[in-house]
Amino acid sequence: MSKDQDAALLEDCKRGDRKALDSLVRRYERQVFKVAVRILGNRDEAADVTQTVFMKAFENLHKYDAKRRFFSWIYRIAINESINQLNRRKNADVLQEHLGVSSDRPDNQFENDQMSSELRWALDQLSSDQKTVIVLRHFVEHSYDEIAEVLGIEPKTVKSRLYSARQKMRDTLLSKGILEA
Amino acid sequence: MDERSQALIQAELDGELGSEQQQQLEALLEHSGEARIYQRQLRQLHELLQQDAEPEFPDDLHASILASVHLPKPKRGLASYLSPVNMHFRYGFAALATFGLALGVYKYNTGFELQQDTSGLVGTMMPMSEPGAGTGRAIDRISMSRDDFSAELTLRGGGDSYQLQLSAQARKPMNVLIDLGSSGLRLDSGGDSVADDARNTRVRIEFQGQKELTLNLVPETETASAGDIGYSWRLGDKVLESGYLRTQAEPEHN
Repeated sequence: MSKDQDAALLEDCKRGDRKALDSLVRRYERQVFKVAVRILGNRDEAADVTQTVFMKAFENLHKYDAKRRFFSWIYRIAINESINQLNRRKNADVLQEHLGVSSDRPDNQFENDQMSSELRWALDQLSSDQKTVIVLRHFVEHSYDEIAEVLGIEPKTVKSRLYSARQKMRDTLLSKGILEA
Repeated sequence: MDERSQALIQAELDGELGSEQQQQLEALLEHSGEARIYQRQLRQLHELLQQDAEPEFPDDLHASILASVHLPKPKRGLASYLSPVNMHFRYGFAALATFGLALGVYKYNTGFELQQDTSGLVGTMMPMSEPGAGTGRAIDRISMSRDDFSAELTLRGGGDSYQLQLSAQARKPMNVLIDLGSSGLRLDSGGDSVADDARNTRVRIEFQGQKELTLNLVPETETASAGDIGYSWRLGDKVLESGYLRTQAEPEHN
């Protein structure tokens, strides 16, 4: 989808055109959901985050820099919201541990086989920065330049984060016998 | 194997190698068994991530998003203030105008004098275009989204010319059939699009990957006023969804 088409839809949205909103949401909702669910590993949380992403994006439309592409802006919000949700979850887990309450949250609702579970576990061993580049590269299939634009970093930093993330995932999956030595 | 060689293999996986680096990689793989194993493992990792089951998009999420997003209310023109709904404004405006007119007549009434001879002037009434015509604003828009396909049609213009814009992205070969048969419009021009009937009223647009296209539509006859435009999204001849685009903008509601 072109930058110009997004810009035209955004202008229509600013005039209160809900059909334009419908179109813009349809363009990006699945990708935003995909990013969130891959970072969070939980479908319900990802759905909540996806809703929040669009709500915040349109609340802050006046802050959007039209020189940037809309997708990079909305993905950035999606990543920040997903990481915030991860941190909230970690804090809640720590609190529950202190209180001696076990968490019964189904973290991996969409996993239905052992392989998915191992992959999820390997992803969860990564830092937020590393996980983000893996998700954008392997699940959303962004190039180094596109990832750099979304995250507001240099392409060489993307490359180096991807390198260390893959090294770590490779080591984890080798130790589990998922990858062949 | 050193870090530089590993980085080279990773860049290849991402399709980010230049031709010189490609040659370096080929030489490396030819001489290093360790490099070949590393490349195989990374490709396996990539395949595992690609094959990992895609979580289903929740059915009700689209509606929830739309319900939670607030847009500014559409700006109202003077016409809306003069509508029957705004009775107080209308009466106030009328009273003020009457008072102003009366005051003007009382104070400045010296008789009307024409400042120039108008006997030779001839006037022409120009027809006004329909509201919204030529402004480039969208009259109607429909969109469709699936996992492997997202597309939308936007209709702009009005009066004696319409522009139907297609913006689509598809992993599979898709097509959209535009049926102008009952709309009173016909295809005038539209990139490489050709109508498949003599009247130029049935246009099939094939697409795979990204497609951006604008069809210019004009009335079949001078007197015809445009009716709705039929469309159907198709995978081959299988219709996935069909409907109509309105050619007349809906009136604004207050």
